[in-house]
Amino acid sequence: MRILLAEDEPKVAEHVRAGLIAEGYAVDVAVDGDEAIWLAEENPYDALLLDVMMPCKDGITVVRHLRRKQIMSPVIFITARDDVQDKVRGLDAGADDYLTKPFSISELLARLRAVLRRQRPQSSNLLRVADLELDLIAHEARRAGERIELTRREFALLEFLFQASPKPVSKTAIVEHVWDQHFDSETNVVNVYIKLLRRKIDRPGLQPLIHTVRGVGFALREEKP
Amino acid sequence: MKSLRTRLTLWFALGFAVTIAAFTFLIHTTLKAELEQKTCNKIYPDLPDWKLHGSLTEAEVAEIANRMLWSALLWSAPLVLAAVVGGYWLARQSLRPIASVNRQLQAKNPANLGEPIALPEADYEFRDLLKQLNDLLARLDASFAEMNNYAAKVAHELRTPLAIMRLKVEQAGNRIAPELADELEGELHRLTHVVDQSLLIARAEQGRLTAMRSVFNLSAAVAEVVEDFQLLAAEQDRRLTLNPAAECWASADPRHLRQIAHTLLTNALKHGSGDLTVRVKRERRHAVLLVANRVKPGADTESTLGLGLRVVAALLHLEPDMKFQRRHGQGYHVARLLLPAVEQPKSFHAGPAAGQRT
Repeated sequence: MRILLAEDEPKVAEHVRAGLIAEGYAVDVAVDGDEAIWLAEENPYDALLLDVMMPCKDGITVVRHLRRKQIMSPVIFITARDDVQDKVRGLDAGADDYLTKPFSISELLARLRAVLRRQRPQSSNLLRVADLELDLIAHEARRAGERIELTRREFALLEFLFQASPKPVSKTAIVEHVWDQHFDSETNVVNVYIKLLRRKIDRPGLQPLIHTVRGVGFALREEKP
Repeated sequence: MKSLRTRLTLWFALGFAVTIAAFTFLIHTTLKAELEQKTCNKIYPDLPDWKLHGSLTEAEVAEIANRMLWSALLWSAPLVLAAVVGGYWLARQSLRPIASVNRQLQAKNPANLGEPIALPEADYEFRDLLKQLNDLLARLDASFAEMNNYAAKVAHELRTPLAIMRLKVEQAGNRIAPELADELEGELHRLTHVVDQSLLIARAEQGRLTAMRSVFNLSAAVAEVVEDFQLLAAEQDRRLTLNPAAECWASADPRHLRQIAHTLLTNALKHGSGDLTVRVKRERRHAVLLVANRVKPGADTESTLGLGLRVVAALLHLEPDMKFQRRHGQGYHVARLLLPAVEQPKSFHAGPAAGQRT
């Protein structure tokens, strides 16, 4: 999942970013409201974490602007202002949640999972396709009850395939949701990671679940023989 | 002689010396002539028939004239020296506006191209030149901004048709040949990337990107970036070795560092051959990121600035303390990025390690 973090305080931004990356999210950081709008308009983020007090444009203005442009990615406000009126103003502007500083990374991650869950058809933190399970809280993947060791990026890619399952997803969509803006999408990084995932998930003797859909991309689904 | 200041100083001193020499020669010649003609007549009142005629001998005349000459030479030496110093000072003062204009022009970059050159105490002769120079800069700035805006607008306008084409290809995926669909998607993807990069460059050159400097561990940041590239290198049967210093703290915008590291590694993978080496080390006051790779045989290592390196150049404008160097030689290409090094902050807790398993 790809997240936009808009925060003008460098230390806070780096710590939150590190926490999100450790959970397998791809993160882009904006340092002011203008940059946040630019990035959100240019990239398909799965969620936005916005500081309310930012240079150029505050978080509330950013959300109003994005909603007017029909960018409906879920938004969580991060702010030092804990006044009820401020929270009401933020939520009314179009935000989905509101987190007051200081906060713990685990609380932020839980709220992020919650807003992302609301976007999915299955509102569970345990995703399942055939005998493959993905636990979004424990960050574990199991196939036929056996734990599979995955790197952060492999986990993020598998999660994205789960979200779309049984529909296929294009390579472009995968790059846009699993990698951050820095990545040069001209590389064949998606194929490399799909190959790694297949080695771990579709082991010999097991029914293949990751399928190449020629001309479209990749799909995670159980195909009846 | 190359230096105008030295030339002016020498001309001034030479002019002064020639004047003194001419003056001395004139006095010497006149004095000598006068002394040679000088006679004295003495009359004795008691002896009216007696009259004494006297004059200086040639040796006496020569001695007096030489004394005068030496005296003139003795005095003119320090005067000529003073003229050299005075000439140097005058030349320096006169050329100060040129040095100032030179300094201000050297500091010009796309962000401040339109700011006029300031010479508050410019002489009359310089004012007209300065006006022409500032008008030229204003015209350049306007053209540059127009070109930038146009590039940004074109890139932005391309996004909508690209998005439509992408949707169409995805929708038509099962009606057209899969190979063609794959190829179209790949090309659309590449074009989208070019548009994204162009927009980033335009934004940076318009001064609309902000640097958010902070202290971070360069080794950890580079390790995070290298992770994917190690897999990509292995896919090409190449090895990417990372030799990070245990901890190397730097002060810069870590987002820009990551973007630059991505670009350097992408270029090394695309345009290089053989194994790649990435090194992070501390060199005196700098934290250094080094990316080295073999050059593909026949590759043009001095080719024009590519899109990736244009991104690097645009980001370096935002980070004046970062330095970027490239070297080619003996079949190798080495890119070095120098960041201001800092000591590890006491309160810093390192973020999660790259490659951490979930």
